[in-house]
Amino acid sequence: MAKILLVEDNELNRDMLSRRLSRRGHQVLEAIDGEAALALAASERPDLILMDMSLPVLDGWEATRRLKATPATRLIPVIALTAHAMVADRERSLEAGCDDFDTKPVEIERLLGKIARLLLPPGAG
Amino acid sequence: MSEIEQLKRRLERERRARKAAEAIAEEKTREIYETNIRLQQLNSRLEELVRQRTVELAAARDEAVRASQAKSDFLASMSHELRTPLNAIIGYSEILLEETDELGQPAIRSDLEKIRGAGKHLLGLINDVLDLSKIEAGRMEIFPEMFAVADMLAEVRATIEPLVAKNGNRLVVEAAADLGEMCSDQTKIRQNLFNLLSNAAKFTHSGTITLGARRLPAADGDRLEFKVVDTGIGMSDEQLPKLFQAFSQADTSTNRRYGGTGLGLAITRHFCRMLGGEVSVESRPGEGSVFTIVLPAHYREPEAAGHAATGRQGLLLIIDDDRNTRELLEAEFAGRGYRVVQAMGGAEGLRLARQLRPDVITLDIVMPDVDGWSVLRSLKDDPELCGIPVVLVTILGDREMAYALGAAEFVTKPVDPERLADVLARVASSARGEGEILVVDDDVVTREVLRRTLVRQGWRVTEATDGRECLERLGQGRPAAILLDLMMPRMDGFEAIEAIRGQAEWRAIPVVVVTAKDLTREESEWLTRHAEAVFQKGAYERSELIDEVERIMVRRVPV
Amino acid sequence: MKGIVFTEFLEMVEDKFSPELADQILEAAELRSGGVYTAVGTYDHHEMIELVSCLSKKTGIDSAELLRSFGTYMFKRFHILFPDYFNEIESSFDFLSKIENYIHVEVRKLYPEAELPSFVCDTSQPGRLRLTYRSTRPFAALAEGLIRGCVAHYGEAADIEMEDLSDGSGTAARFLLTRRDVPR
Repeated sequence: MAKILLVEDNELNRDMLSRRLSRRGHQVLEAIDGEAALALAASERPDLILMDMSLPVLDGWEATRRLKATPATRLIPVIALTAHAMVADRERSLEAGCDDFDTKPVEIERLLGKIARLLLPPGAG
Repeated sequence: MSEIEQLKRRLERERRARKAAEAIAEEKTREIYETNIRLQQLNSRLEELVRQRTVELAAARDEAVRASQAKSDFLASMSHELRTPLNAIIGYSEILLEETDELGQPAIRSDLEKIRGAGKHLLGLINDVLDLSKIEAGRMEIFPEMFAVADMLAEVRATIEPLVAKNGNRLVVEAAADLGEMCSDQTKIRQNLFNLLSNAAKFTHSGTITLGARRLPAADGDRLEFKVVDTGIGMSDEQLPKLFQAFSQADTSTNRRYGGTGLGLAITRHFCRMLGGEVSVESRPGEGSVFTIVLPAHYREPEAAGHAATGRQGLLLIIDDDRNTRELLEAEFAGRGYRVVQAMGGAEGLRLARQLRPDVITLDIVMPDVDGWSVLRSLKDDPELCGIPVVLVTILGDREMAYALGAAEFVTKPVDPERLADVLARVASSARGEGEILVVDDDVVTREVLRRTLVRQGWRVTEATDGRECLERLGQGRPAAILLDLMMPRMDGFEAIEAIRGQAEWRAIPVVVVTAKDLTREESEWLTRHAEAVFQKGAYERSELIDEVERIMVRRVPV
Repeated sequence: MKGIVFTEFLEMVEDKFSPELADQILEAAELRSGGVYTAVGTYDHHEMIELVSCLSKKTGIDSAELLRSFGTYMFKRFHILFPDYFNEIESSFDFLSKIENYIHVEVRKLYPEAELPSFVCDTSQPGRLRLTYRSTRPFAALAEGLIRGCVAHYGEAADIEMEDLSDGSGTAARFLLTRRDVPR
């Protein structure tokens, strides 16, 4: 049961993921671009952010960098969602400050596992 | 009287015959002239045609490159366009499945399963087709990375386990303890293993599927072997040959019964080969199959076409108009791990030197059609090329290398202090300020100028006015390097070099030859003549040349 | 007919007989060219027939005999003037079989309009050469002389039989050469 900010510009993907997360008992906030993500993160202080990397206005990498640079949002774990499993993308995500990453199309169980791990209190697991 | 008449008549006949012959000669000359004119015109027309064709070909090539790029762009965007709606189909059907489970509507469930299954199948097809297109367009890239083999296997197992269980099969993983790490394209290897394992799962019922992995150490690089063994229906000898070909499953009936795209194994084989390995299969009908993938533990990029060695030792450019010489030298050096490029003459040599920036150039000085000296001068005059050491070579039997080995470095007059400093830094064995340079030149002004330049750079300088004095000075003490003018009286530069190389204790002293910027034809001829003379007098082996080149290569710090 | 035949003929007459005789036949014969020949020129072959005929009258030697003799003389001259054609040729059969396909081909390159006789050879039987001469000009006897000169040049012992194929006009003949000194 957590407050998850989902940043995804594709309507269908956003809808699907949002519903499946809701069914698992999470509260889902939605943002459709990087700037909206920053605003919502600051105002709502979610427990975790799922960030699609290719976003309009402000892309996922830059948004993550800014989130991690702002004291208020620095500690919120970010999972990057990328369309490719390339080494370059993975490294880029980690460099931007993401805490983990997953590939699209999303395999719900795998993603839930990563979310669960990041939501554990520090020291546990 | 009649005799005189006779002679007169004969003379007259001779005269007229001569004139007739002259007329014929003139006629023939005119014909030749006209033929020449026609040939010239034809030639010009041909040249024009060739030029046009070349322009057309260049345009066609550019067009082809553009088209290829357009194709890749199309593939990339298509792939995204195709996958997006499919992901929606699969995703929503999964959502609906979850909802029906919650709402307890088993009837709807099976229909939704079908939608989801079809969606996944289609996605698999699209992925495979796009992969194969990419491979065939030559646009599939390798992304090597270091990873732990055991971890990758664990991931694969976790992912494939449910699929294996579906047909009542048991999955066994036999991973050797010392699998260690691999540097290769992990994604592709995973894809290969998924492909083999899902095939195994498909064609086996209530059987056992084994994924095995072990490391095969070898002197030229360890390899990793992955085996997928199943106890399924197996394949007959007729089915095996077509297995790895695209679009032919073992036969069409299996396609319909077992599904699949018929592309998976073709892609697997492509990937294995791209990574430097191979996939193979053994099978018995009714008993099962064994697929084996062997890959190098460390992925190496394939060599550029035409060169045998991995080229880790450096790039050597051979400029020589004699094909046998070029082949000989290439064979020698390629076998030692150098990359070798050949140039047939001066013009090609200069072009390739500019394009490729080799680490060392071997240059045949005595090329009959091309003046090797002018090539050397061009190399040394070019600010981008002058730093490349040039080893002068000419193969006139086994006695020739004296000069070639003696002068690996050149500077041209008037001497640029910066150039000189660079050359000496590269060549002299002792540090500045600690060493002594021996300047050998018959012109007192040149000696003075060089002395001042060198002193300013911190060297100590001794002087000699000709080859003989040079040898005398060497007898008194070893300099760090010798700056030698070639054209001197008494003992000229070549003889001096030969004498220097002839003595064991002097042989290692680097000799930097100073040549005039613009050799007159006279000097050029003189040099060429003397070069030949020296080569015949010399007593050095080809192996010495090779050693010299290697020494130079090692000295060059990679940029 | 190429001028060289005329110039060589006249030189032969001067050498073997005398310059006066050469002058006499030139004056006696009715020659459109006026007896003015250069080796690189081209002249009517009837003038050669006329010259041979005059020479025959003056010397009392048969025309055919004169032509044969001239043919032998010509072969020696060819050897001196055009030594390249004789490179790597070891026997008369070798040389004779090369006339058609090599020597005449080369001649035509320089003189495309040259009218040359054909020398077709049959070497199917070892030790034997069957040579068929055909021309628009009646110089079979000249050909015979050349052939004899060739055999003599290579020092061979051969029988030479000649069969006229032209009903006496001399424009076609078959020669059969049989080597006596070569085992069959």
